[in-house]
Amino acid sequence: MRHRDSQLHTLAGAYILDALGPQERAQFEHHLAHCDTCSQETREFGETAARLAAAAAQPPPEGMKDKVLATAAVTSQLPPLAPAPRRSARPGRRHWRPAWPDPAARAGRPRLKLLRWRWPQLGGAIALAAAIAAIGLFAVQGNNSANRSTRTNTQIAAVLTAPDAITLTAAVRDGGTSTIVMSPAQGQLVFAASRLAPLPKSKCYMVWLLRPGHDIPGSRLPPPVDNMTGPVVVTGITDHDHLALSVEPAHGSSRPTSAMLIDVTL
Amino acid sequence: VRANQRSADRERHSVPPAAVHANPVAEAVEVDLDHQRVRRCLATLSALQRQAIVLAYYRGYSYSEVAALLGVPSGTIKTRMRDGLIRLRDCLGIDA
Repeated sequence: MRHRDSQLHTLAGAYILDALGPQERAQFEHHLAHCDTCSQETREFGETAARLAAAAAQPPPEGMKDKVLATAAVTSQLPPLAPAPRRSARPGRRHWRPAWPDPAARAGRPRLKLLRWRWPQLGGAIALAAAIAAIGLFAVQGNNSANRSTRTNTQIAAVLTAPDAITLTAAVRDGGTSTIVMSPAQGQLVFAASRLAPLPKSKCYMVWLLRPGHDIPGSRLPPPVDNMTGPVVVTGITDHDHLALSVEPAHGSSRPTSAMLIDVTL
Repeated sequence: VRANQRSADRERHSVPPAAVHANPVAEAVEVDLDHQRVRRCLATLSALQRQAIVLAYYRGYSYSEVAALLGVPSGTIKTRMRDGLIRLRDCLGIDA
């Protein structure tokens, strides 16, 4: 995606939150080198985000500091094995990097061939969940979709902020990407897709929960808005269920009638 | 005023370790006050700004994932992330 310079300014927030893809991050960093306003804003945002991190930090368990200090006092230092590697730094050019979730880790997640998975860093997610609950992330329901019921909004919020939430991303065979956020404890997931191949009026996408020996009715996905389909909530999931996507007649089918475009084991 | 506040913050944070160690209760209270302040500031954001920032920052979603999961155009999410950080920055009195 190419951005005009004026649009690049707006990426400062997403950049600091490490929410940009590799290409846009590179574009923004290139822009940053020539834009004083952006550098200033990025520095301030960085400091702001650091405060967010501090707010989510949990106090260490009772006695931990004493234990660590006591252990350190009786543990001898290891000799250096080899000279420390030089840190690569490009002189004369400031490359600002957020000091939290390592952007490289985002790119280096394991990938399968046909279905591509992304497991976001969930380290500390459980501790953070408490902080998020305190923050009251979804305390106020946004009116971001006039036709979505408050109940669905609440369900989506519950899954996205669940302490055990797992995110999977799978490439859709005919084009597009699907994102699944699942909470095994709640037995539900949120499914959303972007840039799915457009369908004629006579067809629709349906999402299926497949369980050997059981026919579970599928759900028709609403037509895309701004290239995005969903989000929809799928409930009643259990271990070893599969989540699948297929193209069906517009009035829906009682079981899949075409090839699966994704087939994800939950 | 912010500059004064910040230099005051720095002075507070640059107490010798022994002094901090000597008064763990005061330290804990100060940390707690800072957390409360961040939470208060988060509460001043619009729901969409807060959702976008929290999902990206605390849960590691990319902005396009946040957009898809909340059913909002991705351009809107980018803008909300920046607007939200501007509001947080001002609320926290940060100027770099």
